[in-house]
Amino acid sequence: MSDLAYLLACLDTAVCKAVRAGEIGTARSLRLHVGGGPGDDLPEQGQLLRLGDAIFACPRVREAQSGRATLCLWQGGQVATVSSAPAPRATIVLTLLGSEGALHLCEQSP
Amino acid sequence: MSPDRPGVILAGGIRSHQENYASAFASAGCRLLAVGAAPGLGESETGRHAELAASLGLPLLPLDQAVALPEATIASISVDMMHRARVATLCAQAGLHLYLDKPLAGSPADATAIAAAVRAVGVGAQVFSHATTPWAQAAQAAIREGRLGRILAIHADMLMAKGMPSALPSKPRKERSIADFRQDVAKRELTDMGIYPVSLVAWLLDQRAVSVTAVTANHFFAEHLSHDVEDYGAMLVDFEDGATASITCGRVGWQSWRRPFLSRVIIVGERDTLVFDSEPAELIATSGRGVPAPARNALDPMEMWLSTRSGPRPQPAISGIALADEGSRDVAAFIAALASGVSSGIGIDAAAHHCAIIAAAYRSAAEERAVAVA
Repeated sequence: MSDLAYLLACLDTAVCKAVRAGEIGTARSLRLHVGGGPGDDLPEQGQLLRLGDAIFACPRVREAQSGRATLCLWQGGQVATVSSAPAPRATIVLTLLGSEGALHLCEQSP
Repeated sequence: MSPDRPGVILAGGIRSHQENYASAFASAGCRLLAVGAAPGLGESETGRHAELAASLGLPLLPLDQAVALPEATIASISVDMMHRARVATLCAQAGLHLYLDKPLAGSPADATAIAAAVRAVGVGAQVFSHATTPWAQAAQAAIREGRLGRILAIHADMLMAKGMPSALPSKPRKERSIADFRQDVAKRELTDMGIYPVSLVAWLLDQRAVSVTAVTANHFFAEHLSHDVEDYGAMLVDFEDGATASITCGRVGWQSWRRPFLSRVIIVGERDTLVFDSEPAELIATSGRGVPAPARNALDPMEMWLSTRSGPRPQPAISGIALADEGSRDVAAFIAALASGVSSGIGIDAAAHHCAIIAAAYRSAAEERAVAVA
């Protein structure tokens, strides 16, 4: 498992745990960008959206894609804007907005 | 007039961004001459003009008299959206340079009319934006210096961490594509917040947008829901050379960030990906002020061992001390541009295009499809 894949797995776990613990109230909106180099397993858009599935826990109702960015709407009105791109260094930017708070991560390897 | 101290008339009232702009022009060394109230503003907005004039100790004049003051060279315009075109046109036709609140107008037609008036008279004009902030200037420099190579995508966010959220029902918002920009307790945030990343992305790419796909939402505020206006929006924007932007924007509640707002761009180039944001350079101050100190253990006063620890360790108080006040930078850049003829901010034609992008986004959200930018 690459460093990026490991970090994403940890992120998925931590985000879902925080949401389930009620840290941010009802999750409403996800922004996620992932960048990774040739040695990384750059995730597909569908994999990034599955984090939204886990958080929002309802079906997707609308998706639109442009380049390597996807805009997705869930049945409960939740919105995700996810993107990925090859990059010389691992990059993860996440903002998950909830009704009572938010989770933020901005990590970029040197 | 003294060319070193431009005279400014203020078209706008209290409880608008004119409060900020008036302060910024004064800080930039300008002389505030008067508040000018256009006819037909309505009782509430005219009253807010009077309140601003009183608070600043300025005369309140009819706008046509204010713009005719011999020392007036600049009009700072922050009237309600539906009045912007005629107020800006009147000021431009009086020969005043225009500093305008964002967004330029509430519809592409109004924005185009303002741009045409400015071009016809040949006055300077700038619309408030983040383009003149140090972090946006650094992002532009990274692109211009070729550090990123060809730009493939920009992902931008503008999250205003203000307001008191409520528990709202979880359901998709049904958007309307008509423009409705009443001044109220709740603004349309795809416009009010979305214009920041829209203008920033288009400015960084220096290209025109060709199509938009957008959604809007009511995630946070009962005020927005009760007025049937969105508090959140997201969009994908395609630009003419194939670059893509994704944008999120909204008023998202006071708990959502440690500062009043978070604005950010992730720029994806062929060579590198860089992240720039609005977080200011600051000193981080840590102290025990207001925090009880950890209990002192005589066997382990340096807190080295688990076995001597009793309970959770208290955290120090943390605060940031800003290194600089960035509040008036955009106005200062406008003043500098008038003197040099070289603009570093958002000009009038670009701002009109940004309004067209926003209008296309509303239509896209309403019709649930990609919409071409007119």
